[in-house]
Amino acid sequence: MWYLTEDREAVLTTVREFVRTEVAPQAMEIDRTNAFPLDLFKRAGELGLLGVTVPEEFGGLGGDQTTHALVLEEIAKSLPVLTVAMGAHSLLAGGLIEMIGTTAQKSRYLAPAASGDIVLACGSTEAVGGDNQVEFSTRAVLDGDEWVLDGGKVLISNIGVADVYVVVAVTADHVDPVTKAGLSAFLIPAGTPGLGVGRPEHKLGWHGSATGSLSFSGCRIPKENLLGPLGGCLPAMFVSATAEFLSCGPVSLGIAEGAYELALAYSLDRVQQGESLFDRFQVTRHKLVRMYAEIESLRALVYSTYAERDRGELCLAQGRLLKVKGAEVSEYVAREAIQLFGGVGTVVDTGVERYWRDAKVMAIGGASVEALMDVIAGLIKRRLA
Amino acid sequence: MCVKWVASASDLLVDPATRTIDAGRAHRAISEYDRNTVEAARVVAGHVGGDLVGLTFGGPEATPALKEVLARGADRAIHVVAPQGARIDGHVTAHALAAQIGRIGDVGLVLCTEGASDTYAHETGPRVGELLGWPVVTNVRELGVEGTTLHAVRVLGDVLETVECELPAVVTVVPEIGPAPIPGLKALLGAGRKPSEQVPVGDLGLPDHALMPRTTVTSLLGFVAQRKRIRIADGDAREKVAALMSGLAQEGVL
Repeated sequence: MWYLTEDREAVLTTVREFVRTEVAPQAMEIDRTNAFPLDLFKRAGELGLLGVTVPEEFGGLGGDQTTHALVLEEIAKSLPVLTVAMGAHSLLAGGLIEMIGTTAQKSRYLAPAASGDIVLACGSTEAVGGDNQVEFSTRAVLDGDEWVLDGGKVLISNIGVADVYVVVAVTADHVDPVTKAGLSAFLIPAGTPGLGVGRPEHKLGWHGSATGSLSFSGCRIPKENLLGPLGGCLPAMFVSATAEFLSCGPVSLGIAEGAYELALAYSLDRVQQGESLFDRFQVTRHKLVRMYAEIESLRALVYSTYAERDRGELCLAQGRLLKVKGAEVSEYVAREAIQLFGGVGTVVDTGVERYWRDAKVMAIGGASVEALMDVIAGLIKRRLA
Repeated sequence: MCVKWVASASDLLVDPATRTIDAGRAHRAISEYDRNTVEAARVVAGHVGGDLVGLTFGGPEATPALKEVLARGADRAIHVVAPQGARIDGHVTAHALAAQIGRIGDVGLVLCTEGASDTYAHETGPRVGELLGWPVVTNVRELGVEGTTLHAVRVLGDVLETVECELPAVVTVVPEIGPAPIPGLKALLGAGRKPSEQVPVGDLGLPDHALMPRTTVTSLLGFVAQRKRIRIADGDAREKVAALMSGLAQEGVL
């Protein structure tokens, strides 16, 4: 592959070993029990996988975005949900701290987050909709030296396991419908009185992501826990969200590859009337070729976009495109993989159908592809894509 | 310690018709069992306070082995480079490694893996020991050093044998010597900052006969399981089991 350097190959060796020896043996059980993979998350931290792009001065590797993408792709081949937890931790919450945190906040949170000693979560979405910030009702009011938060968030990943929540709240009379000014971010440690943590939802896919609700009832935090400019966190959130949408590219690629590999192996191993399904049926071969073509197209898009990102481009449109295209390809490939398995493809123990469930959530979780298409359209119209 | 750069056995593709092996897309890494050896060497070096030097011999493609052993804890690493496409066997390998060990100088202990994951020939350690004139202890699963004395537990089938010898020595270890932790990315990317060296094998001053292979691989074919596709369909369960037992006995399985 054109994007593999010697260093990246070495990183892949480590990640593959981690996935083969520690992640893969637990993948089915995590999907079955919906338990957050905290031990794997901590191990990812020990190995440096949570801080690939975090600056070295804050405990990270100071690596590039492409290396991060390779890590995500490799893990997603086996356990996509681990990358979901990593994304909420490193890209959303960690990304915001890195972008708009004070030096003291960065020093306090980024290094332990990079090593996996603490888990971060990011709470923005409310029941009125993730991108409907003008109707957000979670408010923060300054009372002396403390901020007091009231309200609630839904569909937040890493709840219950997070040590620190980055939470977005309204700090003005209203949120400007155009600029979205009036939103501020706060750092709320787990266990803070007034912070309520819900029960993880049982979802179609992404089992184990510990996704659920947060509530705030007179939740008091020190004044210095304001993260970034008062009333002006949205531009940074837009950028950190872009990083997360970008990451959906390699994660979707990993999901597609995981499903494809299972389907190919099954098609070659399953024998009917003395022939493998692969040799016996043209339709099997053609389906696999289509799947392969979609995977390679996505790979090209993912790594060319990440190369742009490494050259300093924000990739606002391309980043969102990776999520849209990634969700499309991973869902298609996983669906076809189930189809190639025939009846047993619907059996949970084959391990193939969970890729489709994870791919399906990929098209909605974090932001629906439809919402992203509108953002992309806006960027296209303004010639920013 | 000595390590070997190999193609991952699980990535080799065997053409069932011709039994030819395609290693073109196989992932390359240091031999799987070498990882345990490197960790054992790191532990011993930590106890005795010595420098840990990783050493490999092979064509130019083997250079990444240095980075891997450095990431796994070696203080420095040396690649003795064979010319591209050069024929190499156990004889040549042992001469190259022994010569380079001699150049390093104050070496107290050489660790090799009992066998590499590709050829598993069990010969590199004993050959290197013979060339250096040092004692060789093979099949080691426990290892310790006190002063200038090596203590080792050898595994011999169902028997454990404890031996001692004076250093310097060559030890070959089995994977049970201990687990091989996965190196973190920080160690991996930091490996590039540790000292490493490439030494052309021609610079070792070896005589021509030392670089002349004594064995030649004349054929390399994959092993393909042949299914007999025998179906036992007639009779009730008792009769089918009896037929199965009889068939297995005829095949020599029972």
